[in-house]
Amino acid sequence: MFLIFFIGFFVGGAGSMLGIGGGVLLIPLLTSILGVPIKNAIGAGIISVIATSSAAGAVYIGRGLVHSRLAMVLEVATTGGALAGGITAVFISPRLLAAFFGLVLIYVAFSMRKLPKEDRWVEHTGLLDTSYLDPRSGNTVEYGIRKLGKGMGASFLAGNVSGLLGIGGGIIKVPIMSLVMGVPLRASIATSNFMIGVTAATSAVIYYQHGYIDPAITVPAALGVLLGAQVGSRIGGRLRSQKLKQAFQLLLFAFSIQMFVQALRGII
Amino acid sequence: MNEQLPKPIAELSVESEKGSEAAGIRELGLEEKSTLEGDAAVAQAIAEGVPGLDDETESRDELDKVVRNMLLAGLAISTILIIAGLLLSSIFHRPLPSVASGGHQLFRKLKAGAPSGFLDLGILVLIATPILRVFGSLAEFIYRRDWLYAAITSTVLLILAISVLAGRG
Repeated sequence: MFLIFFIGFFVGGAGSMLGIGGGVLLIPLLTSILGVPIKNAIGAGIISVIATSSAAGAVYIGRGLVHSRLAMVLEVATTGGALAGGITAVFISPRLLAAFFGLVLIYVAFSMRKLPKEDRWVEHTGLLDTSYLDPRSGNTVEYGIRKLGKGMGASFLAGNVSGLLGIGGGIIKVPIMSLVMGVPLRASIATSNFMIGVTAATSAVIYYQHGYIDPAITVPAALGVLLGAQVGSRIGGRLRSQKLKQAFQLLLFAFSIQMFVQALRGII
Repeated sequence: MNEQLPKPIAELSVESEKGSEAAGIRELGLEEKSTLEGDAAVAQAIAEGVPGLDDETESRDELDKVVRNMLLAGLAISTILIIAGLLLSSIFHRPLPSVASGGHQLFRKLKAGAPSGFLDLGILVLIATPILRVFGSLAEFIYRRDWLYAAITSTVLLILAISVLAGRG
């Protein structure tokens, strides 16, 4: 129980320092170290995602960084994706889930390259124009949305992966929002984090009813991730993150191999 | 009087948030015209990003404030329930069940005062938190007669309802 809490604390902290959710590491750690069945680990992941999204979403929305209307539009796609993903996850074999997870881990490891800090194309487009107050420069950043169709597609995929594997899906949404849709990076991260909660809730109700929410695993994991994320976001700026990132990428690769082994166990 | 004040501030600042003059003028209703000069200045200051007027203390959008409070309340209630469940089950040395219960079973547990009932309820409240904030947005959109977004929000709720039904069995 305490071990699960510490695992959650570790992944929550590391995840928030690097700007990715903890779920990608939580689930492989639970299955490999503690031998938790993958669907129960995914159940614990999805609940942890809801907890962190609610906490982070409240903070971001308080700072005015969340684009509530855009979030609501994209949530139609993410919840739709999560519905399909959740139903699929409940019925497919754990082996196939492990293989999918391995693939996503590799994708995450590669996509962790730095997003450009400078926001290109931040301007009014006449579509969902909004603004926020940048706390660092004190300037108001005004922007509008472009390529909503692509954004909806990416959101569906993100929701699908989230529902299938119990992770947040921000790793798919944030790059699309900031690089394609013209949303400033800060606002992308805030809006994505805000959306993740309702996306995760969609598949969580499916997992719950199918008995994949194990309180003895879920509760310590979620509390750990939540607390770890709070601590991580406070000390995040002070650490040299380059080393941390490389270590994290190495871990992701290691776990993707572990997931493939899990998928193939008994077959070869 | 006090109850009427915050609304114009919020709505005015929404307009300045949009940044588009035309949209601002179009959407500014009669109500805003009666806004005190002070409020307009505050909204203007927020829009221009005057340091010292922290947007964390000066919420720019009524909708955002509702949603934020709902998220925090849900998180607080579920944490309290979960910690109560953990404490009670460790005091009474009850092992935690490996499946969270719902429906009748949960109701029976709670009636019997079983510690794990609190845990399950806490998890359910946590899952319900983001869903309830969508209901909060719906109420706010309807209140503002923003029918397009009320419809979009309803679609999200419909998908959630399908997922609740699809999860059965």
